[in-house]
Amino acid sequence: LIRHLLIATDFGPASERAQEAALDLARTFGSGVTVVHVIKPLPYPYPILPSESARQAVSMELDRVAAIFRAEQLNVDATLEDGPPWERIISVAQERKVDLLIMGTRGRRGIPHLLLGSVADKVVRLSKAPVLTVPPWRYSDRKTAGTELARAVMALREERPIILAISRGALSVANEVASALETSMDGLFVRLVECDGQAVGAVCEEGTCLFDEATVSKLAIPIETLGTVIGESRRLCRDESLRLRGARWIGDVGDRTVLVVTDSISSPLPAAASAKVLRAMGARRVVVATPGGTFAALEALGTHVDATTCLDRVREPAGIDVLYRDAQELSDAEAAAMLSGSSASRPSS
Amino acid sequence: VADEKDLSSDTDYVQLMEDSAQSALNNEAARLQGKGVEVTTVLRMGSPWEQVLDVAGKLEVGLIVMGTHGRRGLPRALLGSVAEKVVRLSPVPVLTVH
Repeated sequence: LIRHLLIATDFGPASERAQEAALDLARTFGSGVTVVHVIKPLPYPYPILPSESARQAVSMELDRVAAIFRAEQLNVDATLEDGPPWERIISVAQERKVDLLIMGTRGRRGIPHLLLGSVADKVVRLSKAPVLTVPPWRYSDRKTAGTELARAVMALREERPIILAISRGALSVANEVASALETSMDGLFVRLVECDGQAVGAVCEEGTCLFDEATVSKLAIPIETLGTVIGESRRLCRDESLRLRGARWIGDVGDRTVLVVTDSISSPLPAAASAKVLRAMGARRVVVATPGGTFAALEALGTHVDATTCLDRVREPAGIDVLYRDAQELSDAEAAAMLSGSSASRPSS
Repeated sequence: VADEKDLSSDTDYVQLMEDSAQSALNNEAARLQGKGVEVTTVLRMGSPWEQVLDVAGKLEVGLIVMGTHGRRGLPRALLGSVAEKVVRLSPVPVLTVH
């Protein structure tokens, strides 16, 4: 159906996911592929065109992208163009009679009307052929997100916070935060309790349970059903904790600031449940930090904790699904190593 | 998606708009179902780009498909700018069709 597709790339992170989408589609349809990069002329008084060596470097980058498609036995041609990007992209698409144009956008973080964002706008508006615009991943992986999150919570360093990851996915994030704050971290495992696909509460590994009473009564869940689901969630949560952290309990949090780290917040319940446990244990302040969360969940969480830090607020859970390019979480062995105070979780001096 | 700015407070008029939008939606759904596609329809009222992104989020879609040019008298610029907003703000890929 898609005989020939065009992928416009700026070789940057904004184009990576678009390239992968192009590869997926080209493989599915056996499409011919045209890779385009446009060199934008610099405004006067600079030289109109970049130097020959700069051009050569760009040309090598283009070959690298073309090779990705060629490795899949696809028919590829790559072209380096000069001129206004949107105009060149549309013109190449017309010449080659492509069925689909694919390009990246800057996503929600983009500076409006700058660079690729505005190129995509123009191409979308003016192309006769369909255009697939692909937003970038927010973070390449959880570790990178942790590095960014660490910068946002650096002010807490003076309080010598205890850093706790509340899920397996949060471990890699928390590990980076801990190392930037020059402290150690641990895991306090919490699990969402779901009934018919709806979050009704959260349990902590030591047994504490927090209900979303409004949802429980709205769904009119029979008390026995609720009991069963909670029991099962508790068991799973305790099992995971035993596998990852072992039998030891987390250290004393009495009168300390605790920084609860998650990898995303689409429900306030898990973080709120952890705060309930930590308060009961005597924590002075509970602060939650996450690379991404929905507005609604963060707002609801606000009443349960002392402060929240979120790098990327999104409207809906779908935004959370695309936070990490590499969605892979740690294996049992990796997580256990991180929690047993191996080099990874020790403060870097 | 019906734009609320076009609606007066007259409930009869709102009802009329809703009915005509719903029947257009049903026709489109029937056409796609005829081609063997599984279809769910959603009719929303409000700011078009916000509603499109909201529905996409709620249904956890992997792709948004939309036109870039209006039909039936809808001003070109209006639908064009909706597509622009959606393209810029969507967390999932958007396929725009002229």
